[in-house]
Amino acid sequence: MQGWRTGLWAAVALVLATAAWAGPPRRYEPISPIPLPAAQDPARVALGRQLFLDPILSRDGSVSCGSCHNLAMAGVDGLPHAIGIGGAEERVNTPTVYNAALNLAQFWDGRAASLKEQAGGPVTNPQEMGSRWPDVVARLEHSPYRAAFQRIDGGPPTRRRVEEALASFERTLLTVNSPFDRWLEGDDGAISPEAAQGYALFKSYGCGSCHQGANVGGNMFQRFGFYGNPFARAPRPVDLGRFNVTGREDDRYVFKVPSLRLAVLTPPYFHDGSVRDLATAIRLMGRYQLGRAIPDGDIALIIRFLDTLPGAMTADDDGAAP
Amino acid sequence: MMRGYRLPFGLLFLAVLAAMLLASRLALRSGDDASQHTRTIATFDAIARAETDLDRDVLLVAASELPNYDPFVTHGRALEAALDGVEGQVLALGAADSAAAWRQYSVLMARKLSLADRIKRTAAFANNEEAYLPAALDAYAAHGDPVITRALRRVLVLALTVKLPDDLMARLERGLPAATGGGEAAALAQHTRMLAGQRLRLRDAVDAYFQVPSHARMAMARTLYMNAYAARQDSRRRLLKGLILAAGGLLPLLAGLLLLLLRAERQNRHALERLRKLGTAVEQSPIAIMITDADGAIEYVNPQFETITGYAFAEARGKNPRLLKSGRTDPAQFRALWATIRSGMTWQGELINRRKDGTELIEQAVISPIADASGRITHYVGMKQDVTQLRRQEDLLSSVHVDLEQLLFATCHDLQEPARQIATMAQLLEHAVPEGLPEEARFALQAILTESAQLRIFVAGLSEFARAGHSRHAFTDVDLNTLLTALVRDLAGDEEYISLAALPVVPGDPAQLFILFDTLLSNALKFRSPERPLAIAVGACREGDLWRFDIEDNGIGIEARYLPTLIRPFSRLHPRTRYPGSGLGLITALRIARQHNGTLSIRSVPGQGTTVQVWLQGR
Repeated sequence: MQGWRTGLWAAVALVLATAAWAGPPRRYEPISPIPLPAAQDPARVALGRQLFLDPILSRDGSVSCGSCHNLAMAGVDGLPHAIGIGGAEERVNTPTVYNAALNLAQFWDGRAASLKEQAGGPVTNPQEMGSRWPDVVARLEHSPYRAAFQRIDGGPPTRRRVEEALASFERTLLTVNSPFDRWLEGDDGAISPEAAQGYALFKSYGCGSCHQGANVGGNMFQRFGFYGNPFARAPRPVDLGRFNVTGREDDRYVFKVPSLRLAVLTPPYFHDGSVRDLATAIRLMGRYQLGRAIPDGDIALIIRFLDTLPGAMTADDDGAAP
Repeated sequence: MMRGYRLPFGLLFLAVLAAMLLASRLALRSGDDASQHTRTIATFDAIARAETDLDRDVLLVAASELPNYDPFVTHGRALEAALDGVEGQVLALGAADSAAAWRQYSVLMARKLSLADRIKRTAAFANNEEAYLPAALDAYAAHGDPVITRALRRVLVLALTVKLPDDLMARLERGLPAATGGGEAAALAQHTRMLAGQRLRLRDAVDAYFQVPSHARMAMARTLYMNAYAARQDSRRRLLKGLILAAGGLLPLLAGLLLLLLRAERQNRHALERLRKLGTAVEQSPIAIMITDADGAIEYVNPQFETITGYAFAEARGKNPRLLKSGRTDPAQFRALWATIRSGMTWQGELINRRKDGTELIEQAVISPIADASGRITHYVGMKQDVTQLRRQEDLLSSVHVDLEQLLFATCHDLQEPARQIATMAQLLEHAVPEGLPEEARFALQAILTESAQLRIFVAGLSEFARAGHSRHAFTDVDLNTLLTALVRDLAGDEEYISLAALPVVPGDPAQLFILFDTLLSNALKFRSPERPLAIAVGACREGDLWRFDIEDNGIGIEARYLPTLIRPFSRLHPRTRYPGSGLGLITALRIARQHNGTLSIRSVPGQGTTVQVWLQGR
């Protein structure tokens, strides 16, 4: 047991030592194409979609999931912080609902392990929909939804069934077939040479170490601020990130790495929505995460690359908030 | 006769039917179990696969060989999904131990996943720095300080290749430029430090990840489940086999039952015969016999019981023996009785009960519990003898005795007065007669004087003896310190030849105890040795329930052969003229000691002294 691990370490050390002197190692592409959604019951997806857009879930009937996760606006609200019922303001920036199914966990601090778990969160959050589950279920009981649940789940609406329907719908929100994905699959003409150059820079600066996978992020947690303090003021509770979930010192200032798939469409940036434009966000990431100053020219090229990441937004018809 | 067998036959038939039904249900259930078992094993395999995948992911990350972290998400979800159901599946087949082990496994896996999170982020950072630093160093080397370049390179290589002890790492880092050496060198130094630090964290995290004993826990959980399942299948198979055998053995069993029943019938007849003999003995016993169940309800009484209590069997049956209670038996005695027989032992004693006609019934009773094979008490048997008549005669005897004592006491009292009168008159006469009295007359007068004094002593002794025979007073607490201190003052005045130890308080009759110690101390005073100054010591020590008092003197002593005679009435060892006394002292003392549940003994060495030991009941 101990033996093979020592051996492994020796091998790893050898590889790294070689790497240190032989220039950058051969790298696999850190980004992969977005897969097609898994097959699901279309009726349940439709029900989930209906619920997603219906303010019936909120306490006073003023807010739906779609109010903040505006499907026509790349699944976000475009605001630094979400506005919930009665104008209550959330403390964090709304992440897009698109491609959320690919994330390893939901929320900035990853406190929900799955979409199903997440879907219920905002319903009872006083800053968001401010409801209580028994009330929501009672409202659904006395609505046409009852028949739909009966048909699909063979029973009356329950919290679990509502969450499952919402999650089913959200699992279909994958932005497939982006230019970059086509390029990854061998279509050299799918992106411009500048975008390809931007991608190379993205990788060589090390952005791709964390923003990787199908969702260009979302599959790991990372500390915010290796080089210097990125927080403008003294850290607020929301700045503690995953520490709020695990209570481990190690998780202080650790956040879920956000997806860059729709980054060009979803300003403002960072967990607190404190940065309005993408170039600034990239510059700050370079400074705090990589300890490097990225020249404006490189930033521009990287943005060209990011432009190729969004794919088809399947639910873009009637997604406006009521 | 055959009607008696119809029921067991019917029952047996039904039992066989039930066994067949149960067997078929068991067989079905067993099939359900088997498919559930297959699903469970599939879950186990899914968990094992997911964990292996995660382990491989971690190894690849540690070796910078994983292009992106999406597999982690997939494998983590697979693990979570499989773990979600495993506890319920295992519990469904009754493997609670395994469920607990799987719960522990989940905790271990949560730890591994959290370590994997740390490994992912540390590796991501380290990979960046490893890709960037060598090139950055090369760029710096082209125009920078060669000393600083060398220092940076050395730390970088060491940080990447070997795990350095903390102090060595710290020393090497001191060689790096801090803020000095220009902006570029300082930035490179910071990158190098960060890399070294994160590499270290990565190694620790990977070590910790592979040290989590999740595989062992999984193996254990699997084994526990397999054992539980095997045991379940085994017992089910046995049960099934048993049921089929039972069902298949219908005819032989029915035949066997018939034979058994016939034989049982015959045995019953023998047993009944024996019982009848015993019954006759019990019925005709001159001792009253009562049998109650464990709760005390009367089940049987024999004719003698009917005779002495007046209650017929039919009246007594089902009642509690409380029926006979007169209220004159001490409740503490009843408590002792129950405590004794409930603990499985036999109680013997006397009970004062009441007959049906309300008259008193004094019983000498022996009550025993009857236990079944398991030791549980099922019945109590009481055997009683009517001793009412006997006790009445005893009481009569005792009252005659009391009358005698009272007569004796009265006699003594009446004799005392004339004796005193004679002595007084004789003294008067001695002073009144002229000098010239003939010698015979003087001698006679002298004899009257002496004998009347002796008569007084004798009558006084007799009266004490009479009193000692029967205590007239209820016992009270007697402080022997007070009693003996007063006594010693009376006997010895201010002279201090009697030493008293600390004496206890004992229950007793103060007057009698006074007489007892007065007698013994007076004897010691009386039989003092002329050769040495008198010393008497009174000591006390506890011996079980009793107190032992030693009255030790250094007097003339008593020869061993005379010792047994000392406690006979009117025995004297010495001529009256030398040691006046009634000859009743010691026997009175002994009687008093016995009255106080004690006794008395004398040890003596002639010429050296005597020790009288008295035992009295303590508190």
